[in-house]
Amino acid sequence: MIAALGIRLGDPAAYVFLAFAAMTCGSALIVAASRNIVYSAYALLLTFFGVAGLYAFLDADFIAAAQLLVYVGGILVLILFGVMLTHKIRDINLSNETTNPIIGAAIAGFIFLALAYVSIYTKWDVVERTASPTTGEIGKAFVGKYLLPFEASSVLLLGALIGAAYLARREKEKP
Amino acid sequence: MQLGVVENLSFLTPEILLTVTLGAVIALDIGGPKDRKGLVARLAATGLGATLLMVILTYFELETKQRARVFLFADSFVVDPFSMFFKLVAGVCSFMIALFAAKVRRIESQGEGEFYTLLLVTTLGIFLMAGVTDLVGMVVAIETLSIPSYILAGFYKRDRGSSEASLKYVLYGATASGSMLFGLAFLYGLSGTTSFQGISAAIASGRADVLSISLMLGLVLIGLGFKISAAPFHMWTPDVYEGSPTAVTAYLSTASKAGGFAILIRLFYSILARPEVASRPEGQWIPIGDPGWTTLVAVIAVVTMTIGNLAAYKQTNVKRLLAYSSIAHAGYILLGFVVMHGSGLMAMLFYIATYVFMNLGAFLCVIAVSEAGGGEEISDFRGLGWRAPFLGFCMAAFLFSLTGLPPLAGFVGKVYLFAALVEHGWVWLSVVAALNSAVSLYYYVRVVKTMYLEGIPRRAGDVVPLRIGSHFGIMLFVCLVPTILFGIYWQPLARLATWSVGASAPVEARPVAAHK
Repeated sequence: MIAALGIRLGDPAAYVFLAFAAMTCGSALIVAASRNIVYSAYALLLTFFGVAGLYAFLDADFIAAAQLLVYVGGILVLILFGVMLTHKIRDINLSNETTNPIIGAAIAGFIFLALAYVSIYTKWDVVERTASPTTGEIGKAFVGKYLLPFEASSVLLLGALIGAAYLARREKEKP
Repeated sequence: MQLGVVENLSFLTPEILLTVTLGAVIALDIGGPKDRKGLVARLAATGLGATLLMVILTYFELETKQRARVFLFADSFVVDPFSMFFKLVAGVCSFMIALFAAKVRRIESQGEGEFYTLLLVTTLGIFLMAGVTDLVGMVVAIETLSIPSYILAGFYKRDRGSSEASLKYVLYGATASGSMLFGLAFLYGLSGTTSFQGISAAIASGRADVLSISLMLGLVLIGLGFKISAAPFHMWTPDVYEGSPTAVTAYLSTASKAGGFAILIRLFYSILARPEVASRPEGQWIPIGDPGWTTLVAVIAVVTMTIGNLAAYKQTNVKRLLAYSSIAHAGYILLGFVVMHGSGLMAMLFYIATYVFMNLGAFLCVIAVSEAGGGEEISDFRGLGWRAPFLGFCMAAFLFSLTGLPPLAGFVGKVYLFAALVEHGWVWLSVVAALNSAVSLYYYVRVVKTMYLEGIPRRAGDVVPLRIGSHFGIMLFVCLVPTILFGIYWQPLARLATWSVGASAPVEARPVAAHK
């Protein structure tokens, strides 16, 4: 089973990978299953951290750093603020209630099997590369091939910013 | 034709103009005079009008160059008649919505600046969706449409329905986007490239078995099916359409849906099919890899239209009824998708172009009635044919056109679709679709019946006129003209649709760049 996933036992890197994977999946399970939303938020920290580790493992240095800075350092802190500042957070038991666990588990299991099937039986386009900084390539891609999505995403962010400000601000007085 | 960055820009004039308008709207909203009632709306509408003009000019430029197709940004974006067709449709929708919304009092009092900014951002998203040929651009374009749409759905902040619509939309949307990204990541992993061409080559190479590819594309289809509200990813539609401000609902059901169809056709017809004769995309297409996906889409189309039509029966709210009707129409439009022939694509384009006018018109009637003090329930439409004769007539015309009755545009659209199906051996599908249209007659006519046969005034003096104002009157007329005109004299639109399909072979006869 392990071999089918392309993991070579005996290679120390395999254990590092398994550790990161276990950390990501285990903490993600807590995020989904925990009754207490504060626990969920803290478990998300480990999930994000594990994903950053997986990126680093794939020699994607920039993405790993960005994952840490943006998700762990930024978004997660905001989520925690949101959780803590929400009024009487301990009273809201319903906010994290599990409904229809059997159907949910069945669907999730089906999706897992489907994804696992695809992951195992597809001949992926594997690229062998040595560890080298990726920032240069990313920068070139931004001003070359991906210039248009790059520019479009700045318009998107502007729109999101304005929309967020609109939703958050106090309602204008009715004339 | 490959151009450098600067030469590229001349083909992106519509997009640039949209962005400039966006900036101008924000600047005017922040720094404009205090007493500027409606100025923002006028600026946005002018900008959209100018954009539309540029779209048409670019369209002509392509036509004079005879089927020219311009690839930009290292083949990641294409300007071709196919994308221009969708830009035209989406541009018209946005322009109309900007004009509708200008007279909706609640939008004006809540913050015009934000409304038009978000509207322009979504329009840019649709424009990009029409032209992308690359996964990265595709995702960014779809999100540029989606994220501002979530906010627009909840634009009436103190309104429970609107907030509920926004929340449901964002939750369903996030799930759909997540599934789609999973599928796209798999496709990227399979091919090692983000371009549609490269993915097509990877699928053709048979490196993944049929089941894997189906699962990957199934995941992608969740995201795109959500955008066009095809079953079983349609659940959000009735609640979101009912709760959102009606102008936003009209937008979601027309422009947003057209964008979804644009990217759906582009993606599937780029990576899973190619024209039999490379230079004749208006002819037969042959599948790459396994041809089973057409049957899958056929089943989705049948389920979508049947669910939409059956659920529309029981509705008492006009917006909800139109929501189910728009689900059903997504099913009809998908029919053209399974034909694997240029005529099917042409029928889809034709149908989308006529559908947006009748649907915009129907929603405009709802807006006009509620702005004049009426409600959104079917019972609020009682006797409307007598109280507001022009509005009643228009609404009846739009509903009959949605049913597909001659001599209205919806009829011609359905004829093209059914003909394409029958010609290529999908007779059972066209029978199901025809039965569905017959069923849909019932609930459309119910609204018309309420307007004309209920609440008939006893005496001429009893009529309480509902004044809808000249602005909405003119707008209704603008929607009514194409709805009737394309039912009688549809050949120009049909030619345009044919030409847009014919010149849009998504697969370019060009070697796929080695990605190693």
